[in-house]
Amino acid sequence: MLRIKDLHAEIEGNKILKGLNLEIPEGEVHAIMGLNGSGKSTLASVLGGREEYEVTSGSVDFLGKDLLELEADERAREGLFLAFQYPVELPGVLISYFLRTAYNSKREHHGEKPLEVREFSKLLKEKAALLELDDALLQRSVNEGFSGGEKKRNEIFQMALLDPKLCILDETDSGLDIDALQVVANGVNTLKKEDPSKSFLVITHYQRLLNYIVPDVVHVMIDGKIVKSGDKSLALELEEKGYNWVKEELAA
Amino acid sequence: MTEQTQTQKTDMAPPLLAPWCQAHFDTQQSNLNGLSGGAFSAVRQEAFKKFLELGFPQAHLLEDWKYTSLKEMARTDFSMSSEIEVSSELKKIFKDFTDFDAYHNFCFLNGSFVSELNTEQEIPAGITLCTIREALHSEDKELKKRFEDSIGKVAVTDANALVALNTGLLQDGIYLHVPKDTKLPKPVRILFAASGSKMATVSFPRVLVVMEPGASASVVQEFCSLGTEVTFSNVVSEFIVSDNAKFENTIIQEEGSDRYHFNHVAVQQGATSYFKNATFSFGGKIVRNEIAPTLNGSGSDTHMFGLSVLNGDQHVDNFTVLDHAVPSCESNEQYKGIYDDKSKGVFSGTIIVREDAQKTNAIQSNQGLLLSDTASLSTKPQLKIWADDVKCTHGATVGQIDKDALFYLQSRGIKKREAMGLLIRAFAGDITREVSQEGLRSYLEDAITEKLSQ
Repeated sequence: MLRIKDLHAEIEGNKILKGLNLEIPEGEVHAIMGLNGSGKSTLASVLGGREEYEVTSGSVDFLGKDLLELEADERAREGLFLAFQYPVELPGVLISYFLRTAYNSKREHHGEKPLEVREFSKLLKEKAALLELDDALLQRSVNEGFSGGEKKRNEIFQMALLDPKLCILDETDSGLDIDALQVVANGVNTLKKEDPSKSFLVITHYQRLLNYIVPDVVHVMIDGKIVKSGDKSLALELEEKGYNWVKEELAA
Repeated sequence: MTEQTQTQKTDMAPPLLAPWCQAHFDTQQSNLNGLSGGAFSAVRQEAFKKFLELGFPQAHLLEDWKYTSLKEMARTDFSMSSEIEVSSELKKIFKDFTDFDAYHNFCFLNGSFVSELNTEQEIPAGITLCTIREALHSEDKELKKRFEDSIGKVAVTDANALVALNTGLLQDGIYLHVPKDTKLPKPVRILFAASGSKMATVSFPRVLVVMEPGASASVVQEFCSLGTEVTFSNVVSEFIVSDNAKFENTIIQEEGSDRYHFNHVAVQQGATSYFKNATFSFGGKIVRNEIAPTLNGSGSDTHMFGLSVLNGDQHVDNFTVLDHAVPSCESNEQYKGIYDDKSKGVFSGTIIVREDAQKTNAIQSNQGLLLSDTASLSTKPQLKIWADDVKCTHGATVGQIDKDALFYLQSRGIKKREAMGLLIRAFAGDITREVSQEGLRSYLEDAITEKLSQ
């Protein structure tokens, strides 16, 4: 599904990604763990298509397409979804309108007819029920005045609605209490169960989230590169021993 | 020393006049047909004299006109035209108005009433809704007197040359009088078309609204342009909103990029009255919107909104002076603008809180969204507060489209252009939301989208 080869990227002259390699096959959940500043979120931004980041070399293949050639919105319509660490508040942009625009953009991209307001409202209600999301939230402006938990739930809700092939969760667990964390994880697991071909890239600082979203592969990222990969036990090991032992192992 | 010389120069500078002003005044005086002795005629002569004394406002002499120059306009040789040519274009603009039948519709061309497009008006008993010409020529002595007693009372000509010029030269317009505790159920919609079909044309429309205590009504003023020659619309509205009365005014300017437009709204508010104004400016070479409500009765409520959506070389100057003269009034003023290409916005908002006006609550904000590096907004809030127990807030921001917001929308598959449109409409939504008529509101939302796609 996703194949990243020797990816180098920088922002304002600061080199952040320094030759990153990563492959995520269809239907797998991969986790990237790393300390602050290791380049985890930069990877998410680069994959999402943020213009501020400059890719200096390397390649990213997404379902047979050169991802780096596509604009952010094209990537999304091709099936990539980025759940933000800090979802943006958009005062005056109604969620229902925003989601219908996004949903229909994708439909049109795939040569399908856009959904009418009524059909779309029905779909919206179904998805909200699936994720146990309060309908009232849908009447509001996007993320405006939402609590941290509500914002993250809204991200997962959008993910459910837009039905992507690859979901990138950028530190979705940051700032969430354990209840909210469970809700988010349940959402992800529900989507996964509905469509086992979906792939996930979970970027996180803590092992905690991985108790609820169980990864097939765990990668350790240090200084812009993936330096070690393993199964879910690697996450527990990191939690227990910290990151230094990985560095020491590398040095040895 | 330098300063003194400067002052002397200013004093000595002759007023900026244009030959056409005097010519039009003379023609008009000779055409009065027996009305030269009327009370209003005296007001007009006085006003015109005042204009000759003041001359057109000059950017380099008046702080209030610092960013808006009328020099080029004054140099243009404008004609006044009473010729009424109902083109198919005018007919279309008039009839295609959204929810046409839900309004009392009137059409003026270059300041003159277009009787050909007049529709049957079912006006509730007691309410006067007629043209100014009709009011002046009315057989109904009471009506005529009522009109003459009110016109020129709110829009004072002492220090405002363009108001004086309008009063001196006004051709026609609308007079609305709503008696005590009466409601005009349908809003009044007035289309003022400025047509430069053969030559540069100037017009002087006027609107006078008198709301007696407890009355309620609303008016929509629409300005459009036809033809290829330059036009100048010099418009004055006077609103008397008595105790407990409620009045809403909406101004929609859609004149072309080569047109001049000056609009002055003067308002007197009584106790616990409600007044709301929303001005939408989509164009013009030089547009100046002035609004000056005076709160003369305690417990009154004033809302002023403005939205400019500009591109090319368009220039819109919003100049507001809100006078809190009595205690316990509330005012809310919000002006926004979206500026593309080399367009320029000006906002000057003065709030006066007089010594007696304790417990005043005044809010003012001005926000500009610049879509290009060459667009600009000059903003100047001014609070003049003499009372001590008041709440006044003001704020001004000028910025660009938020990159994070844009990326967020794009990351959900929305194309960049569409995402920008969504953010801009959301920005404008605070103002369009204030228009009470639903159909008009969606018309304005579409007009914003349309303008931005140019």
